[in-house]
Amino acid sequence: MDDLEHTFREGLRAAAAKKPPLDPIDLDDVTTRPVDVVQRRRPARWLAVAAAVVLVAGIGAGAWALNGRGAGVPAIPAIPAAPTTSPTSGQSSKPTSSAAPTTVTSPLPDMNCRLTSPGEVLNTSQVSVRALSTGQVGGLAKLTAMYLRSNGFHVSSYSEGSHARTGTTIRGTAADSPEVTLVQHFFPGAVAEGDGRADHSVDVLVDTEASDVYDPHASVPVSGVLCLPSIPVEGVQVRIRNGSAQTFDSVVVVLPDGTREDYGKLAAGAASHYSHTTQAYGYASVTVVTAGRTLTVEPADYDRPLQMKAGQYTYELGVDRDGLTVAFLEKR
Amino acid sequence: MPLADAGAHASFTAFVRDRSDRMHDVAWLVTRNSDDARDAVQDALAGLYRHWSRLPSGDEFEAYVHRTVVNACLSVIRRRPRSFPVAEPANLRKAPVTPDGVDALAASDEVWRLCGQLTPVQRTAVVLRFYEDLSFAEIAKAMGCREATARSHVHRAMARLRVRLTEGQQ
Repeated sequence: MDDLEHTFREGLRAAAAKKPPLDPIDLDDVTTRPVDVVQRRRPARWLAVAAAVVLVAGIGAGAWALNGRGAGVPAIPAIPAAPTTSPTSGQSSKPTSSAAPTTVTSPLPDMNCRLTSPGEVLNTSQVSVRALSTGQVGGLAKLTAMYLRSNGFHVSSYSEGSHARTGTTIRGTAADSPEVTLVQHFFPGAVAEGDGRADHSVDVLVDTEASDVYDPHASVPVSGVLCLPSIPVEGVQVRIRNGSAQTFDSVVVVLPDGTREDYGKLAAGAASHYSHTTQAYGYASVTVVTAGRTLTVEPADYDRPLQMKAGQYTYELGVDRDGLTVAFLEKR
Repeated sequence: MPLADAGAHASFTAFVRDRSDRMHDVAWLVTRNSDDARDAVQDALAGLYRHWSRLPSGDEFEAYVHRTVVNACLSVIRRRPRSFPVAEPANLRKAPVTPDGVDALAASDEVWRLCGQLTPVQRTAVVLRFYEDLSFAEIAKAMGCREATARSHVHRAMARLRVRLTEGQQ
């Protein structure tokens, strides 16, 4: 057993020893409950196939009824002709239908473009990635997705057996797009390539297990206009912003169950990455070390939990003569 | 649904008495929440009780117990609401400046914090490996995955800890 394994063992034993006192087991509840958490029966596969067939048949029949006999179900829904204005119509600004042939295109991706601030960086939580594997190693795309998520990326999907490339390729809008560069950081030796995609998402094509880089605070500098796909916010994401004029040498948030989130060093005006909050607590303490002083805010009221809806929240920390101040901001 | 056999009921009660603390530990380490841990253990015991008289013996019994606890923990985590209460600034008060600095994170704290950043499945593998001291084959059986997958979960977590501890020493 090496030192690291010993550290793991000791760490887990220490954590178990510090667990809050638990209520005794309610044997009456145990012996009268009808649930079975071990072997839940799954519906037979043929049942799922039959259900899918019935569903598809139902949709087809519905479309057939709506469109009339012989019309069939179009493979691609018809797109209404785009209204255009005639430059020669003088006063008339009434839109008229264009007679020109309509080109069917994919809908524009949901994307945000904005002008970046000086010194701004792109971090992993802002980048949307798909993990794609050759399918030769079972579960590789899923493992890659987990690896990316653990480093803070938003993984929109993963797919096994969706390409036949050898090696690892990072594909995005351009080979030198900041989001591609950031993903490439986590796959040393990977090839980057651009396909001109409009939505600035990134695909990771793998054929072997990724090397294990853990660097969720990684970032790349960005300038000019930055375009990124809109990432749906799941759950509650919290970050810390240093609203003071001095550097925070460390920021530590401690939840009542002992979970410590160390946001590390934060320069004046800087914000941490967003971290997913996975526990339900109505209070926490925040400790900041700055200029050789340790400042702490502790909860005063332990009885009022705050239910927060999914979204992104920022705790803005400041320092005044009395100590630490906290302002709570919700991103809208 | 009490067991018809009084002896089986008594042996189950003894099992709960002997093993529930250990099950609680595992559930706490995996769910990281005392209420969830308690729910998971209750669920697991309810599942075990239902099949008590038909459960295998020996190693197979242990594997069944581990799998039941793991399933219960992961099920509880899946049932969690998507939004969570966190610190309400209005409830926070300013504390006086304390003279001592923040203690450096001990390695054991780093393990606990690192575990919080793992996915529930990875965390489960780590807890089974280093708290329950199971082999990778036993972990795979408890988690219903391949042995290589269990090994991968644990090694990834260890690699992360190695990086963290190295960073901490610099």
